[in-house]
Amino acid sequence: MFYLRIILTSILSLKTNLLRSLLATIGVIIGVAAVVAAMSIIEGLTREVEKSIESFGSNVLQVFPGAKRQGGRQVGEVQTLSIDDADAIAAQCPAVIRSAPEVMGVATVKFFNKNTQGTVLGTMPQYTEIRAYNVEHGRFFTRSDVKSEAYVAVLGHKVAQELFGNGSPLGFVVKIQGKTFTVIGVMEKKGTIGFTRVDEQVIIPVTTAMKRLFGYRNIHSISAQAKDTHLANEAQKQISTLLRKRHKTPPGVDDDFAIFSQEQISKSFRETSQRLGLVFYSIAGISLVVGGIGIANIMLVSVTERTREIGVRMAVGAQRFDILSQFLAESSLISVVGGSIGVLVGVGFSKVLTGLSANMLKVYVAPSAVIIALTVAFITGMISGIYPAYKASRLDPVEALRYE
Amino acid sequence: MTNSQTMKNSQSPDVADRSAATLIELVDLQKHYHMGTTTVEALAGVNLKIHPGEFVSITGASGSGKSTMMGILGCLDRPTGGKYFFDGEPAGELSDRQLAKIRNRSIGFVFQTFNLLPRTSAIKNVEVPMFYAKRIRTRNFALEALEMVGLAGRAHHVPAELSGGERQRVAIARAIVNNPKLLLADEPTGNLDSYTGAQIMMIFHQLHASGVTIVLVTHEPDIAVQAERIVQMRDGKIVHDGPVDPAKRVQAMEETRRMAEEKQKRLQANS
Ligand SMILES: Nc1ncnc2c1ncn2[C@@H]1O[C@H](COP(=O)(O)OP(=O)(O)OP(=O)(O)O)[C@@H](O)[C@H]1O
Ligand SMILES: [Mg+2]
Repeated sequence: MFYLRIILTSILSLKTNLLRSLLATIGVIIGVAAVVAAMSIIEGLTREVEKSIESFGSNVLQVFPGAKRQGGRQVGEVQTLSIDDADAIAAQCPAVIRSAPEVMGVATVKFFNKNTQGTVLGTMPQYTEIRAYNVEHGRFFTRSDVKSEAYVAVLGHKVAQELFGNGSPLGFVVKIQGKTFTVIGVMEKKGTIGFTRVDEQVIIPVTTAMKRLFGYRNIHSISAQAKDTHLANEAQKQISTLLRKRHKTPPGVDDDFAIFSQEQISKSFRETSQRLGLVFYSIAGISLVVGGIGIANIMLVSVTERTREIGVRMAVGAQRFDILSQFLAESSLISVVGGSIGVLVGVGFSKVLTGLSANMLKVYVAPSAVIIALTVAFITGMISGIYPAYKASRLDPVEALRYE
Repeated sequence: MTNSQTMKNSQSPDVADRSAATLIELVDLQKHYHMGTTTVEALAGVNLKIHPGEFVSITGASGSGKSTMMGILGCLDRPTGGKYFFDGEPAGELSDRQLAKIRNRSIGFVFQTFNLLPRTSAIKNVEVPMFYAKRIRTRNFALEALEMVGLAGRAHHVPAELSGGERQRVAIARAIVNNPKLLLADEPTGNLDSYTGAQIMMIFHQLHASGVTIVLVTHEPDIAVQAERIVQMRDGKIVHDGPVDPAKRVQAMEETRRMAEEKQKRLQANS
């Protein structure tokens, strides 16, 4: 009851100096807004990315090419991945059940007067099994389509919709980069796999993509499926050994390829987001320190200004501790009010960011972020109020009453 | 609780010298201020006894030490020498905490400059001492105190909306709301015209009649003689201490009553 009244009293005295109190809290507002925005952005990113990482498949490995390097220096010619590498992985690595080469390119896909910009993926039939991504209508292309470099295409769900509406595209021809492809299938609706939006993708035989469409000499990646999730690490080792042998990489020289697993991607993502978080939290921390100093400053001014009031309160029986509590309550209250404004600003900022990114970055405001931010603001206010409040409580009543 | 403390703390050797009916006792009281190399003797050995229910005026030239003495009597300040017994307790030996408690429960202050909390309504100002006494349901008591000083109708006005006399009456209501034994007033009419001052004095007389001990500092002889006793100070010492001629007192009080009533009439005529 008594402390409730102390808080009410401090609300009253803050209200009389509303503008100044708010200005004093700018640092806290910025600090808390930064904490909330940072936590929301990171949490939002994490949720999105973790969904993507899960869709990557826990038993899938992806191999990317890289230059042969030694001590950071490039030695020898750039060895890159080939379709043969992809075949060899499935054939010679016991822990790997399937593997498929992949090439990518961006192309305009046209059907009469409609066209859409899409990603073209060139791969092999086993791609559907590796990614657990199936044909909904029609069929996928076969090994013989690959061998014959056939002009056949399987459309992603969204591509099909955009070009053909609700009608069936099967048997129709589309133009990809001006070349004519027959649509033989439409993929199921899937959203994303890894970081790729597969629904906006057109899949064609890898050979057609390389030789007829883009003129690539090498493939861009290899997807490999381990026999089992717990064999993923084993598969990675086998692939590494095999590729070093095939690329004739001497011992002591770094790999000219990189293998990613779901585990690895999520680990490196976690590291990145932690580093990002650290930057945000440092900014927030500095703002809070600055904010704390601002509050301490305003409280010192307030103590001096209200010396007489303090004298009066003491004259009518306030204990030193009562005065201390009142000023501490005021400084914590200022910073909690500032903190609440900061939360609003932070949430608003996050929402704006979501809007600006056209919902690609879905910011997630975690309740824990709000609670943490407000607690930190409260503690900042307490700490910065300690010295001014102590000073107020140590005033000599007679001198305080004489103060002009 | 205050009583049991009194019993315990009064076991000092000179306990027999003080009659039980002494509210204030100053023994060779001194207050020195050190200003660089010089020392100001604001109080240079004051001896004084005030009994419960007394009404005492303190007069003296400016700088004679009246306010300094009031500060010590009010347990706001500590003497640098001598002893002060309040209600039998050696105030000089009490902790800040105990002194604050005495100020809160047993002493009421009225200042020349009113010292109300700014931007705080009259009733809230009156509630402050009860707040520090941790009393609950303070509203009605505050209203009663305001009624006693004739200001119930102004309960929700802030000081800036009140006249000087009204402010002082709020200050008196605040001083008496915890039912103190002692009311200390340092030139309470100093900032008021004589008619308004008369109203304030009428309230003091009423409080005195109800048993409150009053110590009042004043420069005005017409006010000083309304007390039962006048203490005169000079250079930090008491140079005169004696009862007021009852005839003079009655005359001054009658005059005060007349002025207060006139003021009241004028106010009613205006409204
Ligand atoms: N804090 C202080 N530091 C130094 N000197 C002080 C202090 N307070 C009071 N004095 C001195 O003590 C003396 C007594 O002051 P005090 O205020 O008690 O006088 P007073 O009788 O109340 O005067 P007035 O009628 O003008 O109010 C004065 O000479 C004053 O200068
Ligand atoms: Mg004075």
